[in-house]
Amino acid sequence: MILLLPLPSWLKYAGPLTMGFVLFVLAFSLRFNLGNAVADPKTVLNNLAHKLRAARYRVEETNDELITQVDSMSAIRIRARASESGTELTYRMDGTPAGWTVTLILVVSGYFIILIPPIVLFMLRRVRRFAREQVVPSLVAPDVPEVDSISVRIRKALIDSLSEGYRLSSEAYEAAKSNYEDNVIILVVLGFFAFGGTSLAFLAINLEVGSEDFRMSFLMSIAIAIAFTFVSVWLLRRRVMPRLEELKGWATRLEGALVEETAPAKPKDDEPSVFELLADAWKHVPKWLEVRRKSGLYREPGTWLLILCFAGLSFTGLVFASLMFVQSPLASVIVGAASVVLLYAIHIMYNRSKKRLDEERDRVFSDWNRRLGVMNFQMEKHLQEL
Amino acid sequence: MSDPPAMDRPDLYVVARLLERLWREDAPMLKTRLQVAAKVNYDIFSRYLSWMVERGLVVIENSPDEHARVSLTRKGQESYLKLVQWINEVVRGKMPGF
Repeated sequence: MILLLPLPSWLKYAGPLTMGFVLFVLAFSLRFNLGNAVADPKTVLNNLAHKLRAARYRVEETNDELITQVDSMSAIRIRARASESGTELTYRMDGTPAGWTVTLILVVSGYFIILIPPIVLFMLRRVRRFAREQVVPSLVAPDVPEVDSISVRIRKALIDSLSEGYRLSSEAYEAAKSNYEDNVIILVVLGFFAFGGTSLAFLAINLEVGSEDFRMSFLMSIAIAIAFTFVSVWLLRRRVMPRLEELKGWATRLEGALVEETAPAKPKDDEPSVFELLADAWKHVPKWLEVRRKSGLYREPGTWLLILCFAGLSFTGLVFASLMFVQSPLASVIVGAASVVLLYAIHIMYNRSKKRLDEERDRVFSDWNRRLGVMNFQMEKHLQEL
Repeated sequence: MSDPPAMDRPDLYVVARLLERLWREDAPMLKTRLQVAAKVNYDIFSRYLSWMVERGLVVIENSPDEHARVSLTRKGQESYLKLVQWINEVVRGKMPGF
């Protein structure tokens, strides 16, 4: 509607874009109230995490927050703060890595950026409904019984461990899959470049446009590009698929065990032990964390969104600078210099992101190995002391 | 039948497998069925069972049908609880047992 008004063209487009941007920022930063609970924040979050896990949601626990995946695009961040009556709970919307990736693609795509506000509103609606229908009833329902029921405590520990194992393995699988798909896209783009390169090479040998030889060389360029793309994707697939299958296998096994643990039936005599499954899974966790770290786009979509925006601006700036150089050398130098600054900013952002992820990996690996070592020692000691 | 030879160092996985299987059962479990769950041969299974009986983790009951049945004691349940709690603490970023 606004586009039909007699306004300057920059205002017609800047207005909706600004409104969309404000909506985007508000949707991801506004906090909504969930209610109060009588226990301390840690206990409240712990009980809530267990109930959501038992309902088979993927839950990540941090110091004062729970991050739960609502659907493939959206997540909810539930925060607990101490209050006079016990604990005050609030939440805000967040995106899953897949959700952020879609947003990033829409931003980069240009015209499709107008799809972002309706998508964000849809995500917000899903998150609010999840809070109303899943989280609030869990807060009202009685807590996990703290009575001396060993069985209840064993089942709680098994469900929490299986859920966390499932979350880690499935996130690693999704990150590896996303990485693989990104690489396929890169290879397809390189295929286009191969087509362009071979076409130019044929033109350089002075083939006459429209001649039979030119048509043959055009078909040959297409054949070379297709062959390059297929062979490189096949090689990539051959290298990556076993790893993807392994990750998917772990996620499936842990999810299957979680499903059985949350709806226990009469066990079969040769059923695999959940304890063994978990003990084996924990040995693979450092590898799963490494897979996530390697998928920078998946782990830090915000940084990559900025990097892509800066790269696009910088590329456009350099093209304009070279085209303008003859007519307006000064403007060309200014635009060119700004583009180089953007390139430098990309370099700094990439290095910082890599350093941060490397440090995080080293810290997590070291902590994890230390905890595994202590666990094995404690278990062996426990057996000896029985 | 003579007692099976004593064990120096039991395998944690086999012990945990037996404890878990008995924990999941509502009633005392037939020895033969428990051996299937243990996934070890009869000799080794007998050694583990004796080791667990000596430490009060399980009890063997002789039922009227002359089939020996095994059940988990409270100590056995507590022992399995400790193992799974340590596993849970590791994944939650805590140092197990502290």
